[in-house]
Amino acid sequence: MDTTAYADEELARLSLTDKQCFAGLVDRYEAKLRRYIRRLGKFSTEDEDDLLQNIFIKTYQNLNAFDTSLRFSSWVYRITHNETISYMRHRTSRPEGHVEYMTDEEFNNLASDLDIHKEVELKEIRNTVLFALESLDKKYQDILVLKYFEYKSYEEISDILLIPPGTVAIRLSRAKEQMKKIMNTKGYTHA
Amino acid sequence: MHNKENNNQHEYDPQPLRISVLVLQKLEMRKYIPTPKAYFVLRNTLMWVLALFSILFGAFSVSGILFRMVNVFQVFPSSPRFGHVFDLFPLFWMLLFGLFMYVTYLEVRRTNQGYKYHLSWIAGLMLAVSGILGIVFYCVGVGFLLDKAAARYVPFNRDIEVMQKERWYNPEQGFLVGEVLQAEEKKEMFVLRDPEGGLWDVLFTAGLTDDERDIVSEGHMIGIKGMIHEKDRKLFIACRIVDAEIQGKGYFLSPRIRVLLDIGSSTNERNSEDIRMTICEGVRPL
Repeated sequence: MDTTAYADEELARLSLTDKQCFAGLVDRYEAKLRRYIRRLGKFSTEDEDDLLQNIFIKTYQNLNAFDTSLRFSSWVYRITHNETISYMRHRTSRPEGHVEYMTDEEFNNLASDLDIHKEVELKEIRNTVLFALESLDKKYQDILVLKYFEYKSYEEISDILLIPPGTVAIRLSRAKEQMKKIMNTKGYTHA
Repeated sequence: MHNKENNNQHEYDPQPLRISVLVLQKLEMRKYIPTPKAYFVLRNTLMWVLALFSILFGAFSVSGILFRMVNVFQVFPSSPRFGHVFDLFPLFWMLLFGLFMYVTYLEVRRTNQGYKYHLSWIAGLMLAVSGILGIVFYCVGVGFLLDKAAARYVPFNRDIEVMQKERWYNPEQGFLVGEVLQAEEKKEMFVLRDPEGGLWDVLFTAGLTDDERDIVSEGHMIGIKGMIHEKDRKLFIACRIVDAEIQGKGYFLSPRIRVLLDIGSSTNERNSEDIRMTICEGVRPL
């Protein structure tokens, strides 16, 4: 069955009776969710594979819980977030994983919003931005990652993190303020 | 903006591992099936029902708070000490209301769309609904009944009628409280039954205002500041009279219901008859 013609939500509905449709969803989300997992923590490839399989199995088992008023992507990101956090809680150490996974586009997106101005090497600014990002509280990191790296809207972030949309806006604003402060201490001015 | 997601396949993404194949294999091997929709519908409904119950219990707490607050002046000591805080403020009911508010928040949060509501929104709704219901419960006497029960079973929570007695029932010190059993038309004297069932003839004094005299009506609870007559130890001279009726008894004001529920009142017909006889003896010899 060619699943490419179907929207995510339609595929989710069809998956209840046809597992091949679910395979189509898995293929569609595997890379996105793997990238998101890497941004939440550092894992071996084997761990990532195990985690992804658990996430998709949990998604399948809970297909009937999918609220059609949401985007499917928000729902599956929510499961991914919760499963990854739960997985990390069972580990003693919790190394962060953003550093290796910020593209130029993502960096520019975040840096322009922080109004960073300094004529220095791009690599240096990137490292400082990443340092600042990893210095933030986890709740602020989660918001920034979803907003600037996963390109999610406020509403989607609210659905993924299970917090009110107003709280998303407040946390995002505070996260950016904290980022700016940290960048200032490193000598990067903002307008 | 979401198109960027699709174009965002970066060079660091690993080669596809065909997780889908592994997932389907596991689903087949372990015979996993989607959990029935009814389970999620029931769970969501249960959370809303629990939230509604929490709001209801919150309303009961509000009725308890109102009952205590309205009647606090009946028991306010002449020289308050810190220890009276537990007696005067409805701390138990306030704590209970706070607890139910928090439980309601948790239950609403666990519903499908509950996370979209901010704590302040849920707290506001809970205050409004529990507040209105609590006023209704207070008016019909639920607050009074619950306060009685709390006084019986909860430590540091004392019966307001007992406290009223402690505050107002000390004839030797000039305080008398009780129910008016029979009042004269001329408002010169009346019979009062104290909390221990003792009967008193009470004399009005010239200094009493009309308002104070109007409080004295049959069946009404009053508090008197005055003194015991030097010669007749069952005669009390009233210098001040205050309304001592416990408010918020609602339907439970009825002596029949109070006797039925065993919440005080030792009134019975025989007793009343005896009192009438006593009064008649004094006023018109048989």
